[in-house]
Amino acid sequence: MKRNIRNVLIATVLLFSVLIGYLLYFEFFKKDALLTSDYNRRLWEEENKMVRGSIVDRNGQAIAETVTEGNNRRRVYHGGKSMGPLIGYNNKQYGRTGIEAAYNKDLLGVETKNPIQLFRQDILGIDDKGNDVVLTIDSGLQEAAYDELDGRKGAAVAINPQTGEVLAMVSSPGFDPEDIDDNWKELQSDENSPMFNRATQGLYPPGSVFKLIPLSAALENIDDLDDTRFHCSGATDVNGLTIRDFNSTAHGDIGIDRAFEVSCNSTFINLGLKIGTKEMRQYADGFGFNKELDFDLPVKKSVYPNKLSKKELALSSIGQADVLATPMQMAMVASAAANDGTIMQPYLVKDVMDSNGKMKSSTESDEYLKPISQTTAQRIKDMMVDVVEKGTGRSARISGINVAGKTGTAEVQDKESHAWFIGFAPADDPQIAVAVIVENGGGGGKVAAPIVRNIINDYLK
Amino acid sequence: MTRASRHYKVMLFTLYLFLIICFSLLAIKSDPFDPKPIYMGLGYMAIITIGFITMRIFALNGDAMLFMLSNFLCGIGLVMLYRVDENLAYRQFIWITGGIALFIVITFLFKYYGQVMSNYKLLAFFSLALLAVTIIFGKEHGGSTNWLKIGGIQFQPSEFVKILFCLASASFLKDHKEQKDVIIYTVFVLMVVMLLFIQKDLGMAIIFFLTGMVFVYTATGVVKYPAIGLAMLAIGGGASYFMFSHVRVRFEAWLNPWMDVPGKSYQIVQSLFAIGAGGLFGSGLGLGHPEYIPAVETDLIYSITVEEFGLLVGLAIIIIYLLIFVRAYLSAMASEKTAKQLLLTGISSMLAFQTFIIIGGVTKFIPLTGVTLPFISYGGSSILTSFCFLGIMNSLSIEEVQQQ
Repeated sequence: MKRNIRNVLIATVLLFSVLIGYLLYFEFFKKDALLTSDYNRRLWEEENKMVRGSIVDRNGQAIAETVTEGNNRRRVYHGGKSMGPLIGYNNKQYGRTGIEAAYNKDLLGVETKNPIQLFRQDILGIDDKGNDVVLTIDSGLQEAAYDELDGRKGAAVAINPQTGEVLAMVSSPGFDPEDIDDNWKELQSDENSPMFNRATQGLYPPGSVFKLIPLSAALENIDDLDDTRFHCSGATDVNGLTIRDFNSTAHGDIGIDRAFEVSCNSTFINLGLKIGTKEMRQYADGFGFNKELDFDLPVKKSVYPNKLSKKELALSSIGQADVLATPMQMAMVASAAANDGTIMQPYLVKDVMDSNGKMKSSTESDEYLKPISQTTAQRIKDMMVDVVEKGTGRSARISGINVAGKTGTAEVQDKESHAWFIGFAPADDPQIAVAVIVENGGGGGKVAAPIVRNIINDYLK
Repeated sequence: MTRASRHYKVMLFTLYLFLIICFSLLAIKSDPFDPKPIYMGLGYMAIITIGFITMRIFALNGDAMLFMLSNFLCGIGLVMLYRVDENLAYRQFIWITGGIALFIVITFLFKYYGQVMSNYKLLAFFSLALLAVTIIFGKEHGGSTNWLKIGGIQFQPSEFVKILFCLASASFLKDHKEQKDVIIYTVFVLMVVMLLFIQKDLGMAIIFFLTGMVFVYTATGVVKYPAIGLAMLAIGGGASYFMFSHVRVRFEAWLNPWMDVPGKSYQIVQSLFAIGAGGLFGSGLGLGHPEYIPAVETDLIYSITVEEFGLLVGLAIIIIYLLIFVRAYLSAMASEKTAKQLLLTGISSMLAFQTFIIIGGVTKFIPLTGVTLPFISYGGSSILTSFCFLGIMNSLSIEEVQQQ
């Protein structure tokens, strides 16, 4: 019987040891995520005691800050409607979104504080202040890009392809976080959904801007590609499905370079069929499709379908069928071509600084994906320069700057097509890669390319 | 002075220091300065001292460690209660005083446990009768019908049934170890569990079931029995999940607390926020948010304790419990008498299960079922029963020491 009691003793000790282990696990791995929950009333409590930190752009210009007027504290937002979908809001009644939500804990500075500093603040009567969040965003560029979209539904994402810094992330129409209290009902019911961040959450058929993917696969896998001539009669028949070229233009007998310049659908359908589903998917995955992106804001997963019929494969090589991409994703595709085949990990927050201006954390540039070789990237870059020089993207030309780009006109059922353009500049040392979509805007070359041109021009001038 | 008694003195002074600091903090915290917490601290220290001296005088080599450890727990509980609700602390103070008195009385009286344990039928009958009466005349309290009110005094019979149940189990199993006896005993346990289940007192039902399992295993040493027991628990749990919505609610709140935070999983989520907010060192006494936590003075007292004192104190509390349990098991192993071995193992396991179920529950380790945290939670029935158990442990271990 003593043996039995000993076993009960051991079992009891084990039971409680597991409990202790669980509590330690909870403490060190689980609780941080838990505490940021909007249901945690301690955060609002903290907020009453704390001066919420500021959100500033890459040049130190304030985007959101808390000002104290007498006993009242007020969150003030700068940048108007261009900033709303990105920065979000911080509102007692409506909660938080955007950067305000994602970096709430840092802005409030809820982590354990240095007790000596707290004591000093207590004595000197200094309000406890949260951390400042420094974005990679350029406020000027952000506003300019928003103005370029001119109230049309759409999005623009600009990335520094060499570092992954997001320079601008615009969703149009936007909203002014200052107006939340007054206009909540209208903002909620507005059918243009201004609160929705199209740049990260909008999934669109990419149309011809997707052609970079079959092009990459073809360049790296079809040996005699440069000697191959493609015949284009303005329409292609795949198992009884007729796929037309833009405006049913017949491009005649052309090589791959010209086919890309004029965005020839027939050629790319043939390429796609030749490459096959497996390879296409492999390259799409390589560029970040079907992959959860670890970003400062939640990003919808872009989709290249798993199983495709021959018709669907044909359509997918011109970015139709069930291929869906976020503007963020397409900006990453452009930066792969811009940055020697490497996509840098995109990020929005450069640094977090404490209330004394001391750096708390800083984001380092890091490689994210390497979908294509440097040679392929260089070749694609040259072809994209030609698109702007003498192809479909001529309205993106800027005198004195070598712009590389690709147009897209994604067909949508029963509605005007989505206008896409992805591009970067200067071609020999790319500083900015941009993706723009105008929902139901029409032709990409006509509608989206000038927007990208102006964004690039604004940034590089 | 022996080395052991020097240890006790160190512990005693540590306890005094803890109480002085905590109650002084509570006094300073209120604006203007309020001396009442200090009076309570001093009063409690006096009670502990009297209890300690009484034990030293009458039972020279008793297991004073049990007394010390339990008073650490009561002390933390009293501080937290004073911080949450002053009036509850006054009442708890009375319960603890009564508990310590009961502890001393039982330490002496339980020498005659032979007589107490002579009639298992009577003990079993009273266990069942008390529970049945609760169902008929009981009052509802927080979803469970487990309170009786007699002449203005409210109490929780299931707490006292814990003592009767352990006594009945030990007296029966000490000389009934055949398979048919185990079946008879199982029927008894299941009746108790059913009665508790009807009262919707899920936590208690599980505690009794598991304790019954430990009794059977300790008495027989047959591994098959607890294995069958666990299987029964799984089947019974599964069946009641589908049959009873209040079981389902608790289970779902455990699996996915984020599904319905304002409703079903309000308790558990608030508890987790509190525990998380505390961190390792706690927010400091008086700086947490007990007002966010439901049932904070009883079932969820562990959460607010961890929030204000930190996880390190939370873990220390678990270790204090473990020390109490292990000591009881060790004195059971030191004994040669079956009845004593069974009783010590049984009551220690019962307290252990109760502690595990509530601490595991409020930390979302297991589904949350409301039971009190022994010695810490507010409540007369709980405090008195816990001290009664402790008295039995102490009494039996004194005898052991004296025999050696």
